[in-house]
Amino acid sequence: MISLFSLVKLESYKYWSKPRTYIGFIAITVIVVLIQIALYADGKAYWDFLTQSLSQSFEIRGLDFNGNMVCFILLQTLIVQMPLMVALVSGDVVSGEVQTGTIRSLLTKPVSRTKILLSKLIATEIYTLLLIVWLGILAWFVSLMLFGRGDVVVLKSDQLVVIRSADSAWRFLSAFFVAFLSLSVINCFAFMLSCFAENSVTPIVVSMSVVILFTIIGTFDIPLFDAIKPFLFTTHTIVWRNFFDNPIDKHLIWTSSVFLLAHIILFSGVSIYHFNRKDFLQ
Amino acid sequence: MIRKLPLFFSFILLFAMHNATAQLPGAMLKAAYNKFATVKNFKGHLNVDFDIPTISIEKMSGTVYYKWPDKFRVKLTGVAFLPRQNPFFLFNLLKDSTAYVAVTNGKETIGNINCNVVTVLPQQDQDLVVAKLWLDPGSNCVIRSQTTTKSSGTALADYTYAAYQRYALPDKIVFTVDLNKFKLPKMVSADLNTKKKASSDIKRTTGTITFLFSNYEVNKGFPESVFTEKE
Repeated sequence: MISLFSLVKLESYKYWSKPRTYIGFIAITVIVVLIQIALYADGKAYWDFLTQSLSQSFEIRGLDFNGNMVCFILLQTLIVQMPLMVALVSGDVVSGEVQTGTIRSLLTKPVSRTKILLSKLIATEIYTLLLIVWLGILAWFVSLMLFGRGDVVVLKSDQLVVIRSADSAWRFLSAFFVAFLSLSVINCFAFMLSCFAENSVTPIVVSMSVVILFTIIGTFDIPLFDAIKPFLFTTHTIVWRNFFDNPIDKHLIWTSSVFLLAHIILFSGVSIYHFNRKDFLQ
Repeated sequence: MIRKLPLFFSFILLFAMHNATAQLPGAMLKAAYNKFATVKNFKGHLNVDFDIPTISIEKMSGTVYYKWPDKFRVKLTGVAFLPRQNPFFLFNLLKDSTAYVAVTNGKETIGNINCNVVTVLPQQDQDLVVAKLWLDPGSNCVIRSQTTTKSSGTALADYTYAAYQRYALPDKIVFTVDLNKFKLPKMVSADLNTKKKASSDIKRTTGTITFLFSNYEVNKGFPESVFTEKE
């Protein structure tokens, strides 16, 4: 009997053998480095532009770029794009093997289908976790080394929130954890679509399209969309940002986290249910 | 002739009263200036409290330095939103009574103090356009000031005095600041799940910054470098 751990190792090996797995890491590295260079060179001008209406009323002190602020900007920029990187890889996991036919030989092993699917899902979750860890290392630690410590200034659409440097570390750690939860939803969604599809392109394109569509709906302040927004998972995937509120809306964070967790369970459950009943002989 | 004497004295009395009233605003400002002029420098602990609808920021504390005639610095660690004007800059103008024209604007009660209201117009072209001061006739301290400058616009400050009233140094200054609308596109702020703010907060067009001074060290001196040091 093959253990789940051995299966996860096997799936991870297959996963990391594909060049596309590294696209996310390369993309994150390029984007982070580019933004860090840009902010290092012109960050002050960027902030002056964004806060010019406030600078007419106040003398703004200490608004120099620091590692915490850079990390927040990077998170804000990348967490919108990262679901696409996750979907690009997770959408191919099952459908790719169906397309090439390797799934048939895999299913001949004396292992339950649920176990095979779980091993694939865990392998994609490891990838998602590593993506977040890599983002954390580049966006937070490297930014702190380059720009130093300082207060985080969060720009909201109608407000500016200042989080003190000493109060920021736990917020970043919590934000990274919730970001992982959010990406896991996208991962499970793309994974579920992958179980239904017969080719790799469809689940990748569909999951990317859904994320883009939901995100667009979330940006519009239209009453019709306002009614839909609470039910879209993309509304909850940005809850990491609420750790940078003052005071923190704990209820909103809990509600969104439960919503995300419920989606992970739902998408994983549907994947297992369908995979167990799917006819791979046709 | 004797019949006309009361009329003559009445005229003299009225003339004298008119002159006394005309000198009053200048005298009041001179008295306020003389009181503050005993302060050559001071250092103190400062707590800053913010109540600004468009900015969420916690209280801060730091040190405040002042040196005659117009050097003023608030030393704080971290991001802060401060009033654009040095709260003591007016005394630099008041030192020379020929540099301004003072006009009295009657009396106004602030708290339980019946203040003399004086408008100050600078004679020479400078940053200050006009200042309105509410002066406590008992202590000769400035209770409220409304200043309009070319560089910073209009600012209102309310002063409360306690232990250091003899130096005209306030324990508390509340600055009221007019706010410009702060609005960023949602795609720039990536602020997609924020609840709409209460209408009372949206309607507020002013914010306040409160300076709470304590542990004043008056005329004890400190290095000049505090005004040039980087934070």
